[in-house]
Amino acid sequence: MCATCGCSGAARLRLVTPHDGQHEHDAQHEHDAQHEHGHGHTHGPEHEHGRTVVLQQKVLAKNDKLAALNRSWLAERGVLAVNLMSSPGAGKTTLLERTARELDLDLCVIEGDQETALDASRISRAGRKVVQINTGAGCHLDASMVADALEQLDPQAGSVVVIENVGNLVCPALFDLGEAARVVLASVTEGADKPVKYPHMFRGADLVLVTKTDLLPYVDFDVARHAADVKQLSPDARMIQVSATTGAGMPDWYTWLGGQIA
Amino acid sequence: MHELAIVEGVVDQVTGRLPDAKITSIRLEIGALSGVVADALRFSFELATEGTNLQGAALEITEIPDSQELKIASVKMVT
Repeated sequence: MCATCGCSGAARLRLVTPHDGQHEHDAQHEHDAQHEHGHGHTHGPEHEHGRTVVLQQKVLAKNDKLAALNRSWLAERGVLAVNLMSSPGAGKTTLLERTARELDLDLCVIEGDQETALDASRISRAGRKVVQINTGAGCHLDASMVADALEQLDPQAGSVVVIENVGNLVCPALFDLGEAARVVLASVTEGADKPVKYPHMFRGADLVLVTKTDLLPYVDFDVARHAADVKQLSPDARMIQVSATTGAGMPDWYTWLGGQIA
Repeated sequence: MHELAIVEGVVDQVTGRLPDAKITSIRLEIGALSGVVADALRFSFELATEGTNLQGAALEITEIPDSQELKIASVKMVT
């Protein structure tokens, strides 16, 4: 319950005048210099000096609304969308290149990067339909960009759309794109401390892919500690170890993807 | 710097709901688990509000423990 006016939770507009007795008077309240107090003048509840408007509105409401539209558009079409996130260089595109060549499903890809269509070219060469979004200065994809990309991509019923987000372990965590599942990549070369250092990203994950496992013999990556930290942040998240170079673990990733198709 | 996008969202929503009001202050509630940094929001606020009816408004931020939510709690305005 809202402490200011006693309204219950949901985002709605409520107008409150500072003079209605129920609410705190604003101590900084300023009288408009032009305003004249006539003595015969009666102050109504709509007294016009200034007022507090209690909004209790989600800041990301606009993105959330667009994401919900994407989600229902995808559901109506029978398309599975997955939001793929990681730091730059964790192997998102390499994973998708191999997936594009091997996956026995209708797959298409939305690529998000600040600049260039390099990743889109890689996916295209791997034989799948792809749309590149360049965010310019933007550090994440949002639901509106994905809506435009989906329209251009025109995915068919029964297909899988993988949305490769801008490489970043911070900002993309906040923006719902309308995806059915969130997949976070953690490469063994980054170190095992990423979940505890970037908890927001891992907290929302449905699947954590530990990538570049072919390099495990050469790096100091504590697999057990990493898994325990992920589990603490997202107890229901599935974890799969993969190497897109050797192909190890890739079938488990394909099985997981296939299992997400309702 | 997603905080700039967040502040732009705040400005859009407030100007959309209260297009004719001169906003003198705004209070945001930021969940401690929301992934948003109050200082970065303050940094972006002046930039994002320039030329809008929130220009010059005071920004008040309340941190809410154990919450992931980000909310525009209230605004004060002159009509």
